[in-house]
Amino acid sequence: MLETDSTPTPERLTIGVAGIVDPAHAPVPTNDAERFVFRQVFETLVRLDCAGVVRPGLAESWQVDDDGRQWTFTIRSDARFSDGTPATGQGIADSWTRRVGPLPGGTPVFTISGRELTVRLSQPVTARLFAAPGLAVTRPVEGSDWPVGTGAYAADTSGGRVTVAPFGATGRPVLVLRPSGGGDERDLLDAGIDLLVTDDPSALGYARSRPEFTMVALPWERRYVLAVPGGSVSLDSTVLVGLARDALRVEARPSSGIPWWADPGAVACGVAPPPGAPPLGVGTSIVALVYPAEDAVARDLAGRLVALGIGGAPRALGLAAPDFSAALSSGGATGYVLPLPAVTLEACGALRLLIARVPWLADDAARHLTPLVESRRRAIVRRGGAAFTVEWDGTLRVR
Amino acid sequence: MTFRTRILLATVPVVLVPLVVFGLGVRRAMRQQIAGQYRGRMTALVDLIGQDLERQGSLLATRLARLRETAVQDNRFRLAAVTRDTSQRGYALDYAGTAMRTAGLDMLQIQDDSARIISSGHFRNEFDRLERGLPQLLPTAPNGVALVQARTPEGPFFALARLDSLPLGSRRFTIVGGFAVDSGFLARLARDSAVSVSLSLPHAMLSSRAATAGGGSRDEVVSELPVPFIDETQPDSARLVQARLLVATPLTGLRDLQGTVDQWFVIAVLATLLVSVVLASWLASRLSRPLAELAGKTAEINMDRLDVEFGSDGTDEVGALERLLGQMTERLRAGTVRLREVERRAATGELARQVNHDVKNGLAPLRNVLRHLAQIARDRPAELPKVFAERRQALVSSLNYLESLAANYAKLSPPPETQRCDVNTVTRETVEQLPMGAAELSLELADGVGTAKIDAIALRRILENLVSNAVEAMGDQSGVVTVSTAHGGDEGGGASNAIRVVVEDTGKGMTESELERAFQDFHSTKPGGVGLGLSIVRRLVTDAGGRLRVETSPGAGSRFIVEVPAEEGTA
Repeated sequence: MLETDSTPTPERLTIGVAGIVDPAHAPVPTNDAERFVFRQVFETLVRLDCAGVVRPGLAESWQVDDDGRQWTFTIRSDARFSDGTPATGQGIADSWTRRVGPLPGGTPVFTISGRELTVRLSQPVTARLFAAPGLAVTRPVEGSDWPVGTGAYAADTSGGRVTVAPFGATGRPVLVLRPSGGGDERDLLDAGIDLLVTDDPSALGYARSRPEFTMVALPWERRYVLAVPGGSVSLDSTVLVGLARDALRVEARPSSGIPWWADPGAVACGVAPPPGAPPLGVGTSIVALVYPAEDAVARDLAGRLVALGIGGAPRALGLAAPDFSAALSSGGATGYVLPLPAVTLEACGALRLLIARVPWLADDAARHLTPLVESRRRAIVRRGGAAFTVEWDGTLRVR
Repeated sequence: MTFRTRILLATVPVVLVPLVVFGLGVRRAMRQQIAGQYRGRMTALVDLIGQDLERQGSLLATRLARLRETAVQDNRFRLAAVTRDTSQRGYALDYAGTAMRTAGLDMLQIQDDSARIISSGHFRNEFDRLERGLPQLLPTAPNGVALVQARTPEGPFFALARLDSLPLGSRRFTIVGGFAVDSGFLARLARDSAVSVSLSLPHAMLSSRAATAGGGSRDEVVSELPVPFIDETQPDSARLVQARLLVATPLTGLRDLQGTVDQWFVIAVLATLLVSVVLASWLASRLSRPLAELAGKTAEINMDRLDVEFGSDGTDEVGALERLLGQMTERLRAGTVRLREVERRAATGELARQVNHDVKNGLAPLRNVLRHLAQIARDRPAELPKVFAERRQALVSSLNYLESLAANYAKLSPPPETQRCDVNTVTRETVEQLPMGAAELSLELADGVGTAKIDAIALRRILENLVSNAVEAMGDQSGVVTVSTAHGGDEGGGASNAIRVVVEDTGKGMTESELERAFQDFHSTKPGGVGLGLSIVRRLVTDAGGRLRVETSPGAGSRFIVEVPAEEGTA
């Protein structure tokens, strides 16, 4: 939990996040701004805190039977959608049926009894699965771009500005989003912003020199890997330490532990390349170390790897997101510096999504992916503002 | 080859050769002038490029000196560089990047005394790489400036670099800074979009054309400038070599200009050729026409046709030649008359001698018989009948011989072959061509006179003689010579099958004795005259089966009436 001074909660908070909020994506975010907004507006049955501990969400309690195949959730008694209608077990079942296909544990079978919702699956799952953003409860509203959720806030993007306002007499502040990224984030701090999530060393250094701000390290959220289509690359710890310490200007550490794509459970879930996947090395003639151009960490990593001659790539090549996706899928380059989530709620599903994106990983993802570093950002929070909760993926939620 | 063709062939080279020589000279001078201006421009441009490179080197030196002063004052950098304080390592790694941008450089790297890169502005993460070539070779380059190939994560680029030293503590660091040499840099050196500057390196080629639009035309190198280049292709054997800055231009403007000069030169030659041909044709025609006419007249001259007139008022050589030919023709005409007379007299004498001989042969028996009969009549008159009877046959034989002789001689004069001519046509053509002197010509040709049985030449000569005599008969006095034709014989309705041609003058006329002498051969009243005119006229008229009459009286002029047989069927 991130809690600043115990001064009265202001009526309005200005939040600096990168990206544009599109209601059509709700409730699954595609960028930081959507992740922040969706997390305020929509709820999952349970949530994970920054330590990975499962906490109550829309469900105040839950029971698991049959070795994880049957889950019974008790819906919070005050759970309501932002339009005032109660959030019932049927409403949750309708939301999943409308938007969500089979879960990793199979197609869910719902049993509703009062505030209790029983979900029956064919395969056992953990409670973490029900914290996945995709399982957030929504309900479409006719005539509105935004579906309603059961969170403490309702979003409004009319007038070209994103405003996230609390509903009901909660005493919560109104959240106003200001896009960050692309410019000097120190200007945001000078402009009176209340919360800024960043890894920019200049902004962090500037905030450190300003007493009205405090900073909190967020979880290691991103793991950079070297993806080599033709085989694998082995890097000793000295190189990894050097990468994390000297090559990057953000807070980073050498990648450690078993990554989720190498988790035996994930490997055993039986992923296979999708039908019609292009053969390896077809579709591009790029022979370089390719990275997403908008990612400064990936750029620095690629530059250092080229300088060290690792992977044999003569140069680094930054590609815009669509081109990078196409190049990554084709596997025609010498190597790719690829940012991936450091943690995932459900490794098997995440690996399946990764292989759909990078078909040539299907034969052995662990062999082709060499972990490089993990990075994290920090939250710069104005003292005297609201209290935030840091969740498992580094998302802040207003308490 | 005709005289006209020769004039044409002679005129064309006479006009063209000087013109072509002149044009080629002008063309050569213009091409040299234009090419010289181009060369001068390119030389000046190369000088400017050299000065620009020197300025860039000086600017680099100034900026590196300022960077050095700033770095010396920076304690954090000193900590990182000298004491290798790991807490300041990030600062040191980012130092060159910040300094490079601040100094307006495109390349900057700071190396320690072992040539290891401790901070790189253009390739931040290239730290710790050994780079021995630049610290060793850059100071040896002329003016301390050379082209180098710098590295970035995205690939190499070329830079114009120089080196400065950075003393920190007891160590001496080096600062290598530079400006990127890319197509934009070369385009700025070129200044003019029509000129391209290329950098020729041992393993690469860079051109300003990539930075300028409209580089479709093919450039040609017009000048080059050596630039030192540190070649680090082999990692451990860097060397200082010579690269070349190539100044090129399409030369299309120059070639277009030269082409225009050539084009107008060809046009001028063709125009002059055309004018000269036209002029030569006109000149040749003007020169050759009188000669051709003269040749035509000369071709008509022969022994039977000496009436061709050569007369010219021209004062040039052709006129003089025509007059000489006229005089020659006159002499030839006179000589021909004399020759014919001599021939006629010789033939007449021969004939007379033959006739004399034959007649004598025929008369001799007659004389002998007559002398015998005279002797008998004188001595024996009684026997005269008897002797006469005896000698009568001899007389008859002699007479028969003489008759036969006369008949045979008559056969020697064959009847002339009769020719026909249109009297009015011949009369008009002949008379109108004759010189009339002070006399006035009156031509009265009756309609439908028709064709006469006389050769046209004969009639022509008749008329020429009669009209000439008529003109001469008036001397210097003015008068009228009337030439008329009519159908019919004697005036007042003579023989209808004859055509009458009358030449009448108003001159001095002739007495009867003068008229008799006028028809005698070799009688002339004119100085230098031959005296055959009227004799010839009478003979020609007689030969044609016609007749000639003269009506004249002193002071009343003369009237010569020629009647020739008309062609049958003529009205």
